[in-house]
Amino acid sequence: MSPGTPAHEQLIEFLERDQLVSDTSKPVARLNLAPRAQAGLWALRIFFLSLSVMVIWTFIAGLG
Amino acid sequence: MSSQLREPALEGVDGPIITLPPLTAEDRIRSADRHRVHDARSGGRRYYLFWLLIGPGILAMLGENDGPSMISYAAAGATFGDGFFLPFILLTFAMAFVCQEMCMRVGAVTHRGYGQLVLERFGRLWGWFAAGDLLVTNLVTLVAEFVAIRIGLAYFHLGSGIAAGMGVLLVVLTISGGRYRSWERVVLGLAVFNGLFLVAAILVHPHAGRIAHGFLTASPFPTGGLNTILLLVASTIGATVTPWMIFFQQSASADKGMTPTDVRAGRTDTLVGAVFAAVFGCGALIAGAALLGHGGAGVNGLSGAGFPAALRRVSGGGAGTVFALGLIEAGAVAILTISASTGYAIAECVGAAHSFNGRSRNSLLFYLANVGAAAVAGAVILIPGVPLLKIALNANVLATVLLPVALIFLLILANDRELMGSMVNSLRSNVIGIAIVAFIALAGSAYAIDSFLQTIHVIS
Repeated sequence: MSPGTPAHEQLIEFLERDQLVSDTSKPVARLNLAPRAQAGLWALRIFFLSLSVMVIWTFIAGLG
Repeated sequence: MSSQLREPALEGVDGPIITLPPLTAEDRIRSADRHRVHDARSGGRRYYLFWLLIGPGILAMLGENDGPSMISYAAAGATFGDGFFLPFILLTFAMAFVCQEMCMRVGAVTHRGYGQLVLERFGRLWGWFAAGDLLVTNLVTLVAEFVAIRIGLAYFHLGSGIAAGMGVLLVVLTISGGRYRSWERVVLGLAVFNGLFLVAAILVHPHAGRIAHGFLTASPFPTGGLNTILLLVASTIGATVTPWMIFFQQSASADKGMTPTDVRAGRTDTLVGAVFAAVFGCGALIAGAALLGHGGAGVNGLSGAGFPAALRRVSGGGAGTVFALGLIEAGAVAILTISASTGYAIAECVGAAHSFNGRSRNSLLFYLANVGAAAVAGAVILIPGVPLLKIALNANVLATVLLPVALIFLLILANDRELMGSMVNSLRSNVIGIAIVAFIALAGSAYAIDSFLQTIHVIS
């Protein structure tokens, strides 16, 4: 279908502009997190990663 | 290539010339779906409109009523009875509804999946962490889904080769339609059979008074070691709210083409899914509770026919057969939804096309990740001597432990006014959301730390 034809325009009519692949493939702007928020996220990340290691350790130990 | 169109402005005055962007095959298919929604809405056909808009919410909820979840519920019932866990399951699905509603809303407003948004908004590192967590938990959970199918098939004297082949073939067949809509409708059709767990509950002839007492009083409270109770609480939470659901529902809502005008229908879709999933989950619990007082006979034999065979001995062949079929369904639907969430996450995080509406050559990575995840998990159950029961129970616990970080990012996204505009979380949603994160984090941490300390003999 050629752009500019009525069929093309009709297809676009049913989609929101920011729903088109050409739009969703453009990245949204990066969020600037405050250093304290960054630190909080890293602390949580490390804490829950440590818990995962504990779960996996327990699982492997339980196999024996 | 693009085209130009004069944008309508005030009456009698021409608007500015705007440039129309080019349309991809994915856009064209999505536009056809949106055309139907538009016609149903403008024609006032409310039920047809709802029918068109349901899908991601029901699939996320019933997909999470998966093999390991139903095994966890039945194990809880067989070990402790159903008293405490009946209202607890309702509570966990209420929590799931709050989380999934946020996913649907963020997906409908931003038209982007969770993985893509985390990557773009917080940076590549956090995006890859999120996708990495998901990949690990999804692979473990997928193995558990194949385990559930194997348990169901073992009841009919069929082996693990058939379970593995069936699961992978199902993924290949459902994605071959080349459209999100056809994929969604096939999986919804399969998900209806999650109701088999309710049938199984009826077939074990539970005492209605005992069930009502359990719902109203949350008693009898489970007895036994703290670690066992923590395991069951953590795995019950993990049976209801998981990282893959977050990725799946947000990406599927965007892939379906939902917009802010569909948020109300999406909310109903999620609520309906939560109610059905809670009812069917309680069904598995009640069916499992039939084994209480019978020494949980056969419950630990999950490498064989396990629960279905035990139910057959205690409550008759009908209950065993229905429970076995339910496990096959639960595993099959979850393989489809979890594979889809893996495909979405991987493709979103490398910036590749990620839609069921995309042509296979353009969305190759998305489709390969879909099939690959299922194939790797299916191969694991073919290894002789793999501890299938332990994998099934620990899959949920691992998901619970890794969930809080995913939920925190979801909360930040749902409060991001630049992305969400007026559709940001309300104060009530935030209070409930933060309470849910705290509760899940506490339950997961308590189990992980307690069992680790026991393993290294610091406590007994």
